Amino acid sequence: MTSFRLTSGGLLDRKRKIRFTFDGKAMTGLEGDTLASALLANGQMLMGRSFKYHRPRGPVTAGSAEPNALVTINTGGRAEPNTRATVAELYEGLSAQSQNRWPSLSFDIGAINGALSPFIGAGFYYKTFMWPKSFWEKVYEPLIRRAAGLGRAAMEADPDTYDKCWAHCDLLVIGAGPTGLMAALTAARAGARVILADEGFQLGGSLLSESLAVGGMAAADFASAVLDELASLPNVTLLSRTTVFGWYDDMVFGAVQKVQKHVARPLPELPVERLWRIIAKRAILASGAEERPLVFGGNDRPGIMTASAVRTHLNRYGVSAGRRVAVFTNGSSGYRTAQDLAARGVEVAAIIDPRAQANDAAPAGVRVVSNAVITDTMGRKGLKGLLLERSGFEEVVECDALAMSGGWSPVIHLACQRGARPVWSDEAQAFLVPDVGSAFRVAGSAAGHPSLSACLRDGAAQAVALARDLGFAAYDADIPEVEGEPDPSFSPVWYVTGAKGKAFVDFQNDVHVGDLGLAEREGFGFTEHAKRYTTAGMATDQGKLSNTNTAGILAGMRGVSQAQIGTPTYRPFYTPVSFGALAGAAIAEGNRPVRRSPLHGWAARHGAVFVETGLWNRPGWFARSGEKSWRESMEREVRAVRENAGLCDVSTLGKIEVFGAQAAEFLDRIYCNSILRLPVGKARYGLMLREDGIVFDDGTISRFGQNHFLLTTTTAYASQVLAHLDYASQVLWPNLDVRLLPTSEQWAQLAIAGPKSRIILQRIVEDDLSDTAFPMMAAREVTLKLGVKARLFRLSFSGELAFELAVPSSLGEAVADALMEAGREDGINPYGLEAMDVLRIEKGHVTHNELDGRTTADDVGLGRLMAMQKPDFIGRRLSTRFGLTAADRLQLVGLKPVEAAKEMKAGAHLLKQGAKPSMINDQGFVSSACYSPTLGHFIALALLKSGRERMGEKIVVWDALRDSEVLAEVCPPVFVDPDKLKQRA
Amino acid sequence: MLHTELNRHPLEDVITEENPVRGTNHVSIARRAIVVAALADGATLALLPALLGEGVRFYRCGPAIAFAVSQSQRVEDIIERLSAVPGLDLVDQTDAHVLITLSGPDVRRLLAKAVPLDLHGQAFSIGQSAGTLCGQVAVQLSRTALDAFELLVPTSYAGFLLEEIRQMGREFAFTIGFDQATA
Repeated sequence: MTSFRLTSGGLLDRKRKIRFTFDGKAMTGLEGDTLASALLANGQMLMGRSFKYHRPRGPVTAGSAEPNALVTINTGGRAEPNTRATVAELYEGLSAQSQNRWPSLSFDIGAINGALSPFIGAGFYYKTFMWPKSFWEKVYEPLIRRAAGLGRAAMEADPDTYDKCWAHCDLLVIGAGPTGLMAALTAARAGARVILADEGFQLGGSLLSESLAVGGMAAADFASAVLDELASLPNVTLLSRTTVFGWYDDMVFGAVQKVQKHVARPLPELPVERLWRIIAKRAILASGAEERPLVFGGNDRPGIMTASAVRTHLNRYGVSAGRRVAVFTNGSSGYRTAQDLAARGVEVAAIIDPRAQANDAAPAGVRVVSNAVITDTMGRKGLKGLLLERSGFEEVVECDALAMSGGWSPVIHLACQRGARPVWSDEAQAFLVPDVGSAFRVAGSAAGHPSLSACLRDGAAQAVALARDLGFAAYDADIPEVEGEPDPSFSPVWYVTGAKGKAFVDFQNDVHVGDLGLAEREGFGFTEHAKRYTTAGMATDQGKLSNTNTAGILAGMRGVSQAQIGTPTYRPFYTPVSFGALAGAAIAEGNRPVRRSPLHGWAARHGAVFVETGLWNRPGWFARSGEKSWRESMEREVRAVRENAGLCDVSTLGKIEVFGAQAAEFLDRIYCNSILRLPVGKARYGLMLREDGIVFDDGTISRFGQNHFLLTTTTAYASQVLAHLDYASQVLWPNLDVRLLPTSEQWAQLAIAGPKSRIILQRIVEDDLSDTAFPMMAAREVTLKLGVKARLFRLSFSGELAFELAVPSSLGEAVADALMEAGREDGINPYGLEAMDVLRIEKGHVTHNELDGRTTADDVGLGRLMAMQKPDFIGRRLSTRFGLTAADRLQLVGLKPVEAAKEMKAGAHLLKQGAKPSMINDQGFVSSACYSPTLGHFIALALLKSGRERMGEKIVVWDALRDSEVLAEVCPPVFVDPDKLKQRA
Repeated sequence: MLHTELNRHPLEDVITEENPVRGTNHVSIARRAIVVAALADGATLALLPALLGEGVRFYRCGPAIAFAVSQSQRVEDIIERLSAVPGLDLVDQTDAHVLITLSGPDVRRLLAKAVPLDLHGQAFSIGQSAGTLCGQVAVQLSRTALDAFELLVPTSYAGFLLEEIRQMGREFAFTIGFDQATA
């Protein structure tokens, strides 16, 4: 391990030293380093262990495609596994740990897997561990997962915050290298709103490690000048540390920005990561190209990197990969690396070129071995030498690093994420993007342009075309000259024959050429099959380095073109995205909106215990001192309603006002019962069906004027009913004069129920509330003695004499207080959902427990409401089909236990007496059950086969989940006041 | 509907700061803003802005619905002014909404965290209004100045959304408080 920091050069602040640790060992880096470059500067080439064989590995790249140098950064809840050291920005105090090794990175017991490799080749787990079957899940799989794998997720809560945001632009440029910079500059100068996003912490892409001069200045200075101009333009947004990871419908791009991943102590007011949803009118993919590794024996030894990675570490980070570096290349990239190394005083051991002839210039004095290959490498935890082979002649070359270049693969993932299959180009010897529509273009080396000057030209040209397409007056930019540009061509080499060791195709998953051969022999040679069978192209790098080589090797094995092999499907995400970023701020209490009733404060003051019901927190019961359980509170509340009076918050019911000359006709078609002749000042229970004849929702309809109605819906279905009505008015009957307005939020609504409700209510209402003046189902505006107008309805859900009073929501608490005060001497109690549920079960009133999307009006005993004499209503036609009228359908019944003390619970199934407990003998189920304080025993509502014909039958309530069986008698579903005398009082 | 001492603002117990210092970036909660929903066909709704007079903002929020919003007018005045328009139904929706105004140089950056619309001046001009999601809550969003937007928030969601705004605004040091306007 003899990588080292050069004494000068690189885009580093050499005065700013940064302390960090790796596996607990203190090290020092420089401002501008990645973790990988800092480790290399400290001579730490060994950075990880491979997935399966636990082979020692060092970095192969200097960028986001890195398969080997995966580490866990930070500790505790902030620990982030599988971070690529090659892109992790170094910061003061950074703590990194190596992964997938035990007991240490240097000495890893798991390396024994290497010796076992003949037995654990591709797909070994499909063939072994077959017996006994139960062992797979409990023994084998956990063992395999423990032995193989990547880092481990933190099990502690993440203390940091994440957020999301939206952005809009005319042009999104993805990648801030030479192509992206020219594209952004050209479009921005034309006045387009431009977003330039790049995953790097410094914008400039390959220009930052380029040794060629651009426009008469150093390439990095050229990038800096362009960025300065872009930063000065108000129509440009520059996003560094931002990876565009996905392309979605309607030109929406997903991107994740590392806002504070590079700081020791994140500021609490800022997220550590931010997820961007960028809506772009046009986009340019300027993501560049990835240099391909060469597939030769022993090609995974630490110290072996792509030639461009060696160059980047050298030129940008001032780090040499070794003191004596060999080069293995099939094109100019290796020669350029050799030149840069030589220029910095690093010894180049040899350039090994499989081509017979090359036009590329080697540095003076460097030996070039043409028509030669490498068949093996030496060294345990780092490269010590290589075995060069030419025409059968073998020679050991001593070196401590090797720069390899197998050509270039355009980075095209984003453009192919929505179904487009990459197409093979013989000319580029790479997969390219097919036409994916005119709004998203690929430019520069991502489009197969091999040279820097071509990238600069193409970036500008594509931007001009797109900007003009959007109506901007864009002009061709001056393309800076690139001095001394070499011939970028290369000759493809997919597999170097004669390998003496494993020749890895996919470093991250330990897939070597032998695995691909096995897949081909066993019928898994199709690219998607080969991926699954061998795991080539899986895991965090998703085959960025391996996919093209895999296709090339499979093509070679089959004797066909890569065009016939293809690549696996590209899907989001381009690089891993944390769950934190995806969740954003929608975690814990923020994961869903919480709605607050206008009577929330009033209920809280009266001791309400709130329960979650959809988005609402509603009072479940009102606990009083001395009460030991919710049931005690509930029983008191029920008794108060049955004997005196209770007050309940029903503000959460949906309310929709319907206006228009044909509002009555409209509602007559919506509800299955008749609405047309509902008198003004009266309310009616209403039942809506779905088109298929099943009950949709129920509620009340009140008529306030000839052309003005108010509907109430259940709390849960408020928005669905509004959508249903909107659909009916806009699509089904657009010619009806109807206008809809949701008004749920306007009103606080209180149910006051019980024999004393009228007396109490009369104390705060000016209008006469006698049964004559305000009869059952009356609905009209009244004046409160507080001096405000209110809406009053004489409706009863509890079966008692009852009213519902609606007041503007800001007055809700004042009116509730007034009612409580008015009823204090008469024993008024606030009551919650639990008591409300008991009261309605005692009365046999249905809710969505019974209206569960499977029941008809007749099933729940409301068949009489179906006004079949109406010309039509939604659900009418299909409600008469055989399946919905069969005699053995489940019908609503009541159940009472034969032994009074027995408990029944909702969800239990029903069996005939003596029938074996089995779903084969299922007769129905309990939809609602409760303890009835009024009757002193449990009662239940149930849906029972042909239930109405079975009154008096004894039936078994079978609760398999709670392991109980209770004998119950089938009875009518109305347990209390079946003649409705109380509510009509 | 007159505003009396009986009325209680839904955010009364959520905003606890007394005399908060108003920062450059600020979230202002209207103590009282009247909202009247106007229901009519599109042609009729188009006639209304001219009839509403000063101090009333008029936002179209559907093919047949618009809101008249004011912090200086009374509901009764607006209804009276529009009562002669045929084919128009008016509904007081004051208590259905909380009016929240966000202003300051970073207001667009804050809203970008929650609102999917393009709020660039070229795309969303002063006076423009749209029904949209703000985070997880459906609101009516309107631009009232270059650096000011108002949100009509359904009352039951107001506390939740304000907390979301508070969290989103930390980065830009948004302050929060009631306005002083009453009607």
